[in-house]
Amino acid sequence: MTASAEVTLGFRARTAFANEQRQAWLLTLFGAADRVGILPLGLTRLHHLIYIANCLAPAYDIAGLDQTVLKGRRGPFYPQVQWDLDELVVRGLVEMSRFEITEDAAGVWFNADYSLDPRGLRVSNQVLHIPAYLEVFDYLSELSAAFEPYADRFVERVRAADANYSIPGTVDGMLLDFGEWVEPSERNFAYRTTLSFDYQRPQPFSRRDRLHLYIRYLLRVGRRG
Amino acid sequence: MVSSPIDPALVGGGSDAAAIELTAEAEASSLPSVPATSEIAPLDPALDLLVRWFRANADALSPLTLVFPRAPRAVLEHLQGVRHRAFKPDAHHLLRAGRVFVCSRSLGEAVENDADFSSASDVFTGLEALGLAQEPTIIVIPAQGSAYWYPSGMSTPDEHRTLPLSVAGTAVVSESVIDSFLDLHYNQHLKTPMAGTKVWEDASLYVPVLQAEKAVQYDLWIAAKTAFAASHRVRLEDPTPAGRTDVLITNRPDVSEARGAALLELKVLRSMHHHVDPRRAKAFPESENRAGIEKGLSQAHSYGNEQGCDLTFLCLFDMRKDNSDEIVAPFRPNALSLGVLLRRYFLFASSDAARASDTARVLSEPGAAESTPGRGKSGRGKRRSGKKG
Repeated sequence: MTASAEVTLGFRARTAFANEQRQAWLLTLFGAADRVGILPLGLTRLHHLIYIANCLAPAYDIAGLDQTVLKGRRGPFYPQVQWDLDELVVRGLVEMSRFEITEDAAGVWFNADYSLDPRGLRVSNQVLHIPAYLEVFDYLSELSAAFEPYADRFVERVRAADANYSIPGTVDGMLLDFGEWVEPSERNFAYRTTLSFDYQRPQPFSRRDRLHLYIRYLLRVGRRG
Repeated sequence: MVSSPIDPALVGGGSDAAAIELTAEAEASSLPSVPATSEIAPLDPALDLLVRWFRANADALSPLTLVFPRAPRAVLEHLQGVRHRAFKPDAHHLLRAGRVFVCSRSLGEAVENDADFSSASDVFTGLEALGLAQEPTIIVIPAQGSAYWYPSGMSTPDEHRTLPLSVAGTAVVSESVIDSFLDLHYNQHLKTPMAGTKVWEDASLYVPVLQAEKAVQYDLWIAAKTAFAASHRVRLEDPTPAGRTDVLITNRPDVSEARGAALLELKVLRSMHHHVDPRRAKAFPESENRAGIEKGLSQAHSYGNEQGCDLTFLCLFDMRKDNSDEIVAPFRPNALSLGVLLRRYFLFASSDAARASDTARVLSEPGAAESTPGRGKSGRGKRRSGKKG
């Protein structure tokens, strides 16, 4: 990553994204999701997708929104991202539909579908004039395309099979760090998994291939043949 | 960041070494060949499906139509018809001539409309009624051996691209196979402004379209995909540490008879810059064309090495005013040293110019006057095409 890209995006959460940067990143994600045709995204899928995007960002040498996640029974959920999402809804850039209050074993919760408002699409396209976000857009588009065929099983598979989320011995309420205070190349096991697909193969996989392979890998974990 | 492969057994965390190995083995042949951001991305899975369908249904009388709505979730949810899941290439037997299938981008989901359409105009009327006439569409006309891709829907017919489905496939990629493929593609799609690929903004003024190289690249990828996809993976803009390859043809590990891997690096030479008002277009310096060839040679060499290709081609699509090989000559020794096969294809600005050039070449061949049609044909070979090898 270039120095200017680091300044523009903030390098990892260590240097903390400003609100505007996080919202620009989110709008870039919605722009990518719109391009690939996966909108609207339900709240749970959206947070799971953002989590996987954070985990695999080193594969494209770019910054994710956060390098940690709090393990919980509802799966990955980022409160700060939700604040930003709500603000984007209020500003008329993201459209929310099917809002509902729900209740499960963990208590009262909510659900909603999110898509991109035409105004949000315009802003998202403007964000792409910043070269660093163009790279983020490429990454999130590819990840969205990898997610699309497996959207139905994605949430369950991330919780059960993601190499960071399913570390043996980790329990709900534990903070999982895959790059905030640790070296991603050593402790981001999802990223490390993407680097192992090439092992003993005559031709290397491209970084694009690695994203698709990782999502398909999630479906194969714990399955033989 | 780590760059070398990690032993799956040493990844750690919650990883599953067996699943890693199985995924790499089982999925390598079905990975997308085109970046998700590309406008032709929906063609990637669709072409695999349609080539297989066409081989079994070449004599079908009615068209087959696939529609890719830009917001598929919203459309598929409300559409009436037969629902298909995991609509993959090996599910081609589910496709039926006369039917319209509305699909998600990856073909993971599709709805088959239960009406039958006997012609392309019927399909257009049907799509209009369904509110889908402006959605990206592929329509296969079996009798023509082709499919047609409408990226802005059938309501914008001028933007279509032809997808040749009847190209004979081959499992072996060699220099002569690639040369024949490139010659055929050049003659059918690039040689003249009427040939198919839209590369000219105004051919009479030698002004190219905005992204002429991309237009050439997309159509070449489509042709290569239909010709080699049965045995090879044909990738577009594959990112490598050194940059992005243009078109990469590598043998599929699951096809035992597949042989050979080729990299096609593409450059467009031109006399004029693009301008929306062609009369105001500025001249393109010849020095930039030369710089482009030099860069192309270096890219082709490094990408080809990185991907372990047996063959590396640098294809120059020449849109300049003069059909002269002089610009290429100084680079031939370096190309030879680097193992890069340098090819130049001249894009004539008019059909008349192409015909005049062909005639002049035939007449200038030694013994042209005495040659029989048969001998003349074999002797003309590549020179007829306007290609300078």
